[in-house]
Amino acid sequence: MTLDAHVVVRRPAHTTDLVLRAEPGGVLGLIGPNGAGKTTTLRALAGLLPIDDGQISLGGAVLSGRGTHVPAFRRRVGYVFQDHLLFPHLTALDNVAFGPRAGGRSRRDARRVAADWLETLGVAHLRDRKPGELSGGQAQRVAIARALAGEPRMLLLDEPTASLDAAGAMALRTQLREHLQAFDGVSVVVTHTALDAMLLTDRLVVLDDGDIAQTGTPTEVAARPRTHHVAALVGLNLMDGIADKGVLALSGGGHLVAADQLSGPAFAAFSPAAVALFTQRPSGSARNVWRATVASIAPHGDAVRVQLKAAGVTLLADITPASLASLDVRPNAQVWATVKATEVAIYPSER
Amino acid sequence: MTGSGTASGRTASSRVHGRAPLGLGVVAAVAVVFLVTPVLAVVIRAPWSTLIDDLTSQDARDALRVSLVTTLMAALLCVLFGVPLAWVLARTAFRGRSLVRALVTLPLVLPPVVGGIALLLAFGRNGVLGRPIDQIFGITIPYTTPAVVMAQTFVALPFLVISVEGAFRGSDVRYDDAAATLGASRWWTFRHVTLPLATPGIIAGAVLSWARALGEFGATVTFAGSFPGTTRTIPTQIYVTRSAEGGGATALSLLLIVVSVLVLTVLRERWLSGVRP
Repeated sequence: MTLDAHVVVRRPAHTTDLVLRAEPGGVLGLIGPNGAGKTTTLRALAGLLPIDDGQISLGGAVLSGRGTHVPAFRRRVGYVFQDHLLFPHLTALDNVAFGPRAGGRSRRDARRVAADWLETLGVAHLRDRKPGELSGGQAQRVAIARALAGEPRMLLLDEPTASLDAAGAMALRTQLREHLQAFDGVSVVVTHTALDAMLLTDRLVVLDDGDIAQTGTPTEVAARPRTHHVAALVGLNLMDGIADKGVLALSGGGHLVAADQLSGPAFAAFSPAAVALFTQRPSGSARNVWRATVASIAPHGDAVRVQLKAAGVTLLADITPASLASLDVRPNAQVWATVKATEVAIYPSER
Repeated sequence: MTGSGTASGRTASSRVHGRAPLGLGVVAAVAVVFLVTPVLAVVIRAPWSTLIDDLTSQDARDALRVSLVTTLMAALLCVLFGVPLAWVLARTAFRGRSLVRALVTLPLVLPPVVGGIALLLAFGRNGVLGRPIDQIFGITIPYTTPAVVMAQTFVALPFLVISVEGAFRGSDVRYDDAAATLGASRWWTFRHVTLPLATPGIIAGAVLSWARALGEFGATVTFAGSFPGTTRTIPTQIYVTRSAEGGGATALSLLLIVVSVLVLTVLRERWLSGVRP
C-alpha cells in the first residue's frame, strides 16, 4: 500500500507543489514553517481538498488527479486533527465507535471495537466522558483511537502534540511512536517540533514556501539542515555561501573557516555549544572570530543561550551560567565570539 | 503589567455601567413606559373574577383547541421543511443563494394580510395551484383547518430558517471533515453530527416559530376565515369578541401574554446558556 503523490494546490497567496512517496509501515514527516503548505498537503491526501494538478495514488489506485476525486469518506484515511475535533455531543466511546458505525457495523459491534481501541491507547477509563471533560492529552489519545478504529489504509496526523504542554507532549510522543511502528499502513505526520520529527518519523520532508527544501532521514536532516527554520528547530547555527577549499564566503558577508576542504556553494552548520565568548579579543587557535553584540539571553536547559548579532550573521551561543556571570554578559554588551574550524560541518548546498 | 490591565478593565466596565446622560435616560424611560403600559393594562383590566369561566366557555375552548392543533402542526412543518432549507442556505454554495434567502425571509416583513391574499391567489379554488389541485384531487384548501396551518407555516417558517441557519453556521464545519475522514457519507454526517450540534438552535427556532404561529391573525383570517371550531384561532376569537360584552377577549389576551413571556424566558435561557449542548 505505497503512497505515491504529486500534490499541486494553487492559492492566490502561494502554491504548494510536492512529490511525496511513502512505503507501507513507513512514517513520513512533513516539517516546515507555518504557511509552508503542510496542512494543505495533508488535507489533499485525505480528500478534504481537491488538487489542482498532479496525482495521489495509494496502493496503485488513483485517489485524486486524472479527472478522479475519490471523496474523503471513501478513502479509508485516518486523520488526527491538531485540535482533535472530537464530536462534542458524543462520549469518548461513541466518538471512537463513529467510524465503525458509519462503516456499517451494528451499534454493539462498533462499541466493542471502540472499547478495544480506547484500551489500547490507555484511556479505557474515560469511555463515558464527553470531549469537554477530557484534558488535551486524553482528548488527543481518544482522537488517535478514533482514527485507528476505522481501520485506515493511511494515517494522517496534523501536529499531534502541538496543543499539549511539554510533559504531556513527551508522554504522548512516546506512546504514539509505538502505535505508528505497529501500524502497517502509510503514516504522514505534520509537525513543527524537532522532537516529533526525530522520534515519530523515519523519513523527513522539509517544506519551505510550498516546495521541498530537503528530504532525508531525521538524523541526516538534523545534522545537515538546509533551511534556517530546521536549523533553528534542531538548535544549530546555519550559514550559507560559496566555499573555496573549506573557506566559506558567507552570503551575508564575511568568511567562515571549516576543516573540510570543500569547494562550491555550501552550507555550514555548528552547534551553539561550539561557540565560545570572550570579553577581550582571544589569542587562541580558533579560526573564526566575530565582534558581536548581545541581542538576548535566555535559559536553555542547563545552559544559557545567548543570541548574538555580528556583521552579516546571527549567532546562537550556549554558555554555562558560571561563564555568563564571569563574562558579565548583558543585552547590548560587546563580546568576541569564536568557533573552531573543526566544529564546523560543511556540506554542498546544491543537490 | 497586570496592574495596568486591571485598571483599563475597570475603566471599560465603568463605561458600560455608568450613568446615562439625563436627556437620554428620560427618552429611554418614555420608550419603556410606552412598551410596558399596554401589557400592564391587560393585566389590570383582566376580568380576574370570571377568568376561569371566560377561558372555559365553549367559544374559548374551541379557539384554544384549534390554536393548539394548528400551531403544533405548523411548528412541525416548519421544522420538517425549514431545517433542510437552513442547511442548504448555510452549507452549500449555488447561484442565486442570496436571492433564495431574501425570498424565504420575505414573510418576515410582508404584512400578514397580504400573505393571506397571496395564499388565496396561489391555493384558492381559482388559484395558480389551487385550481389544478381542486380539479385533480377535488380538494379545496381555503377556509379549512389545513388552511390555518398553511397560513401559520407561511409566516412562521422564516423564523425557524433564520434561527437554524445561524446554528448551522455557528457550528464548526471541520466536524464534517472529521466525520468524512471516518467514512461517514454526507447524509450520515448530517444525521449524526450536524443535526445534533445544531439541536439547541433547532429547539429555539421551533419555539420561536410556534410562538409566531400562535399569534398569527391577518393571513389566517384572510385565507382560512373565522369558522368556530375549525378555523377560528385564539387571535381571531379575540378580534371577534373584542367589542362584545364581557371579558372574553381580555382573558384570552392575558393568556397569550403569559405564553409569550414563557417563550421569551425559555429562549433567553437557551441563548444565555450557550449554543453547545
